[in-house]
Amino acid sequence: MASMATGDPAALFPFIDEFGNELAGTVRRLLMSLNRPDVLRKNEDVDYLVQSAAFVLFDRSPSWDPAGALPWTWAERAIRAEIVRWLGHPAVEWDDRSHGEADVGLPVMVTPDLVDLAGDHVELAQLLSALTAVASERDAKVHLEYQAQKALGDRSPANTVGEMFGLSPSNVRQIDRRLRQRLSGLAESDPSFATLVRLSWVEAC
Amino acid sequence: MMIIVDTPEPMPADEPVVVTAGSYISNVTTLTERIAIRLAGQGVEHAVAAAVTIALRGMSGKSPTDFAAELGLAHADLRALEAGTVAFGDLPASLMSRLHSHNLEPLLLVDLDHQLRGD
Repeated sequence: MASMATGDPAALFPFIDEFGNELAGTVRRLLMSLNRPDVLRKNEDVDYLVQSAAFVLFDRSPSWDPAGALPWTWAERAIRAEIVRWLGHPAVEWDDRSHGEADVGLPVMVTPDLVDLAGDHVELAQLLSALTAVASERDAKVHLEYQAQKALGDRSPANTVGEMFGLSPSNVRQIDRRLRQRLSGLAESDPSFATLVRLSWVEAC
Repeated sequence: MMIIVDTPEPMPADEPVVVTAGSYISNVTTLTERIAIRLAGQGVEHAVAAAVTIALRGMSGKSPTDFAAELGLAHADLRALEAGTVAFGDLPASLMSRLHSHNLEPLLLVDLDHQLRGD
């Protein structure tokens, strides 16, 4: 380092000769941290970066304090920056389809067309009718969405539905339980809703 | 003046020059080219010739005085070579004869010399 600090580039040769393995270790570690094992596998690229690291140290050698850290530790950030500069930025082709106005921040409702479907499915029509009888419009929607999310495999349906309706997860579970109990009671007391007991979540109450 | 040349590509270091036993083996031609490009950026006229002289001295491990004596040159002449005042083709035979033994690739260096000098 003292020779390099005089500005003599000839000092790069014995420096790399003597400390190249240490520089290579630093380069390899930094390449791994940059997730570039592909570069790591090319010995010529690693060697090129070892030389780059030596140039980084050469340029900074007058500032190095022999009583301080090892040169490659002392200048690691600068070496890393040099490696990043050499690697360049990954280039990706712009695709308009990936940059539309789709809002992925909110969960997607899965029960928007139930009224239409009810025209073709008697049980669904009965369920919607029963819900109208025992619950408010909002609670009915919460119940249907909660059951739909569960059926679709959502691992935390109460959280999902709570986010949709601005409710706490425990509130969602409470509303659902209350409605299932009411539907179950209605199915037992009113023969016109007897088929509701075939619904697994009503039957379970 | 802004010098634009092809950046030396990383090259295999499979024919090593072992300066010290157990030492790291680097591609010295690439390193010499990179020094030459730096010197050219500083306005050195014969940057490749200067870099080759510097590289051979660096690999010799000798002081400038001792290295000059080994080449049969005056110290001032060696300084002139390292300052890039002599063309690559006019480097002393005692220096050029060491290129191969130190694994420096003359063709690559000549090519870079042409690029830097705009030939």
